[in-house]
Amino acid sequence: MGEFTLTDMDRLLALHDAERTFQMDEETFRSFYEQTARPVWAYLARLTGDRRHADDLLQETFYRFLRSRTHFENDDHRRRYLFRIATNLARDHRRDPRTTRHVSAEASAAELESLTERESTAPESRIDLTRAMNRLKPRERALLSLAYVQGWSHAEIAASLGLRTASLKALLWRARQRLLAGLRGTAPQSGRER
Amino acid sequence: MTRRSCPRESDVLDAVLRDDAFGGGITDTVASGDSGVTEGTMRGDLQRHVADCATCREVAEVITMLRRDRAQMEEHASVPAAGQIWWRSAVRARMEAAQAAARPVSWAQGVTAATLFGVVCAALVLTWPSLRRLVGLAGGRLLDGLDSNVMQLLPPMVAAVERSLPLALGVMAVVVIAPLAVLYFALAGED
Repeated sequence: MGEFTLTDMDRLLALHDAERTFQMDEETFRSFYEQTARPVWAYLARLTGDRRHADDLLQETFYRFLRSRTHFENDDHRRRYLFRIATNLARDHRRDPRTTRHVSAEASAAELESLTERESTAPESRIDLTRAMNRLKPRERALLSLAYVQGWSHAEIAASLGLRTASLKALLWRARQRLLAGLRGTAPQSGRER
Repeated sequence: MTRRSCPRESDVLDAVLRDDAFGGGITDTVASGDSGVTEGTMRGDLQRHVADCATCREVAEVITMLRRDRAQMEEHASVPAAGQIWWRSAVRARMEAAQAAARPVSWAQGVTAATLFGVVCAALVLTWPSLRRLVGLAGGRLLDGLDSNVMQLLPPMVAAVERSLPLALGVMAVVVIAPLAVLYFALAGED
């Protein structure tokens, strides 16, 4: 039950062993990371509504990806798998009471808005979007991001979020309505398909 | 509110995701309400449709807004260097491997403790008749000095204690040792 600590020699050995332990070599990882880290981080920041949590979850996402034993057919498959890990981690993060103990959701959202204002070329519209996104259910944020930003198919989204493909269209429509209502300052009503 | 759907929603999505297939045309169309015909039959056709179809206009609006927002977030994201992530992951993997290697040792310690406890209990049960005689002899000498009324009450009490002692030991094992063992393994798993 004791604490495990690593000596400097252990750390050197860890780097030596890494390529056997991980599913890709360091060079391939660097290239893959450069392509995917920012999109994954932005996705996590929108999903959690908190940049600090996005930072933590980014490290965890890549760690789990490196440890996975999945055989990837191509880069696209690899990328989707990475986003699937990020989606699952964000979901687990919401369910973990320890993650909400330190920073309230309001404080996190306010911080995200403040940073958005500093970084943005059109701050007002982006703050509105941040607020509207934060008012959505986490699953709705994931739905909109995966469908409209990542361009996943309904079947892929359904598999990743544990939903039925048949219900995806309706759920996506509802999420879109809620987002637009949030942006326009009106409350969406419950809908039915025509 | 009634849900509207359009069979061309996926065309709109594909067009935006095809990375500027419209050269910003969808956004312009959404903003101005103009049909905005451009060169290329498909592009012009889809743009005309977006201008006329409220559902597709809404889809285009949301996609454009979300993608712009995401592009700005990505631009300003400060992510750790790839080498840092690699190094941290390597160290963590090593640490987890060390913990995994130590886990059987913890289990072996637990099993040894449980076995030892069982052996002690078995030894107590087997040697109980001899122990009872010894206790009886020692007790008899003590009781010689006590009042005769007390002496009458003692034999049934001693007999009751003698009968229930193995049972009491068993209960103690379940009530005290089992939760301790569970706690031990739970804490061992948290490392």
